[in-house]
Amino acid sequence: MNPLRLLKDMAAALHGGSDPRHLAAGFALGAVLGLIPKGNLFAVVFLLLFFALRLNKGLALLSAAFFTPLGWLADRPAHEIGLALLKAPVLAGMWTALYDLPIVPLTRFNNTVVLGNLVLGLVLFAPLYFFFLRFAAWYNANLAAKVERLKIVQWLKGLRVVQLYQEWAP
Amino acid sequence: MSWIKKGPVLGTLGSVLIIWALVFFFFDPMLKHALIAGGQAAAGAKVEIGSVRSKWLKGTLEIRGVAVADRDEPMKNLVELSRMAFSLDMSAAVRGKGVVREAALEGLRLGTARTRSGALRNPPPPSKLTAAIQRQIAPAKSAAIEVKSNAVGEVDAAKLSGLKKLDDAKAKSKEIEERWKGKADEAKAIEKEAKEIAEQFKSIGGGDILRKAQAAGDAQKRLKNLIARVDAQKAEAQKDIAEAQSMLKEADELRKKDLNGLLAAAGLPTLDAQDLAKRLLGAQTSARLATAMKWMRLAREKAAARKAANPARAARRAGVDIEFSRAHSYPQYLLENAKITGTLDGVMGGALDLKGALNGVTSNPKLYGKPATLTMAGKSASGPSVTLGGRLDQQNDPIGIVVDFTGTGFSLAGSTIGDGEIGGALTAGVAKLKGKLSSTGEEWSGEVFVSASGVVLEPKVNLSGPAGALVSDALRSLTGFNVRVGISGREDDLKLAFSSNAGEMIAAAMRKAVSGQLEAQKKILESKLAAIYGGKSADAQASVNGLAGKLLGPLDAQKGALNKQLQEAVGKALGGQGLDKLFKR
Repeated sequence: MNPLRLLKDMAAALHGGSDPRHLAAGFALGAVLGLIPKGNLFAVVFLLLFFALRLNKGLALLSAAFFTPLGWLADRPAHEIGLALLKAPVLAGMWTALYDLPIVPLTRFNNTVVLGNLVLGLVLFAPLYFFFLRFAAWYNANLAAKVERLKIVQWLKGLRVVQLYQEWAP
Repeated sequence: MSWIKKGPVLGTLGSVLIIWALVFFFFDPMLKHALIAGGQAAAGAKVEIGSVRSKWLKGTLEIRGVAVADRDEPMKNLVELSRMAFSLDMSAAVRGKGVVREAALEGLRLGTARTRSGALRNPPPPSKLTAAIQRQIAPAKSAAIEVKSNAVGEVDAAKLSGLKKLDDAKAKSKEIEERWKGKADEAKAIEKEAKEIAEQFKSIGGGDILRKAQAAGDAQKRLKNLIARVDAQKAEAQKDIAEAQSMLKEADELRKKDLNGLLAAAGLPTLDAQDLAKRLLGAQTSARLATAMKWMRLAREKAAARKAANPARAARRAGVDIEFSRAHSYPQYLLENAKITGTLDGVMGGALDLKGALNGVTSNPKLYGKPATLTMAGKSASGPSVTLGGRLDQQNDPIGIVVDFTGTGFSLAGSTIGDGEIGGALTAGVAKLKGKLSSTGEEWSGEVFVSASGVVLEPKVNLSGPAGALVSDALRSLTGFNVRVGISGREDDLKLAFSSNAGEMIAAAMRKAVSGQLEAQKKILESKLAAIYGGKSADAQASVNGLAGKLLGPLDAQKGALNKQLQEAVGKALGGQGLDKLFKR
């Protein structure tokens, strides 16, 4: 997973080089990855999805990096959401059944912050996906050409290192 | 469009392999690091671990070479274990639970020496509990034992607390006197009413016996009422007088304390037996008691039930785990049965093989339903034996912890008592101890008895003059002693009763040694105090004593007059004849 390659793919995708749905999916999945605390089976499952699915990994990583601090900020509401769900009498039977199954408790679904952030991430997944889909279309139509003309972009493209990378990279 | 393609799937598999390799090679070092960090936070001193080895498929964990330094004595280890082995229940492990059905803690050793200091760079401050124990039974530094010649200097009257109390007593007696002057109206009102009754009574004449008897009855009632009012005033006066007198008593006590304080300040001994006992045995007793109570406190603090009742605010991104256990299922964490073996070195004058068990340590005591228990016992071929039983009861609220211990045959040879000025090295002696400490919630209680016999003490006394020789002799004649420490109260108001017969022996020797010099200096000091106190003391005494005459005198006279009047009224009610005249003799 070459980081330069990831950036290059992301820039190319934003500039119409690939399916915008991959970009949007990468952005939304990155958000979920960023929000969920690590060190549990949920994080592993989403990491495997990140590797296995055809989505823009560069944007997914950027999105995860952006949403990880947001996860810290959302700690308190996530705890409250998780606590409310775990303490809900109507769900008690389901939680007890899940808790007694093998492997499932390793997801740490019974932790207030893990469950709260998972719910937050899943709820935000669809809105973020569609938001980014629209944003990508708007960007292509209104901003892409202007960005291409920016002096800094021209300067970057003119760098020998960048040219060499473009020649040699697959 | 396909969302899944071959390349990413292979990439995923590769990543899984890399993660497995990382866990395989780095899990044990990471666990070791986490155990050290956690242990140091709990112990407040360095924790060393030789190696950690986990076998995931077998579900075993082995930790070797564990040493936990003593926070209070950094060159010693609090506890050392050569090997700890845990066998995890794998069916519980796949459910995310840490259940240890069997464990072995081997090579337990207490108080072993360290080659490097075990102090942390930023150690936590001593707990309130340790501070309270040290404050109450640590050596009393004020108990001077050497008589200095011409030690008595000038006495600063402003610093004498007894003198201030005398002023207060005098002021109080004046205040009482003034207050009672304001109560003269009540006395006058009583007097006036008594006169009225007498006048009314005189006016009733003639032969109407019935009317006369009725009037006499009314008068009696009124007079009794007046007597009750006088009695109430008298009780109030007596209370005031008693208050002033108690201030005089307090002043007298403070005067004695002033004298003791001046003796101590001048380097003269007060020869208080308990102070001397604390100097001899207080440091050792307080250190051992603090260690025992520290362990109990630690167990109580780390108790799962306490955490459940008062959950600390969860750390960032940590959240709170909520258990959804079915009845009879395992709690999240459980150490069901750990066998402990070890050796106790040095403390008993030889190695003592220990065996014991630790049971029922869990994260969910209510679900587990049984208290955590620790039992240890050991006996050596040469005689010493020890038993220890601990029980952490988390099923009830508040959490209770009880520790019973007995020990016999503790060798005292090689240990030291006392401080740099008075003390010595024990070359022989055997001690036995018995104790029970318990803590329920914040409340502590318990009693510890130590009895030493066959003691041979090599005195180390740093006193000049005859006192040095006499104290040395007294210490040398010490063949046995006992110590009793009683503990009660809350941690923030811990009461420790320390008593020992060792202090009395030294105090007696000291009295003999220094009586001549001490008495001479004490007399000088007492005469200085008497000069300062003299006038004020007599003045305050006279003022307080005068109160009784001033307040009670008139009230007694008034009561006497009313009683006389009442007798007359009774007589008149019976037809103006005395009772003796009603009946024929």
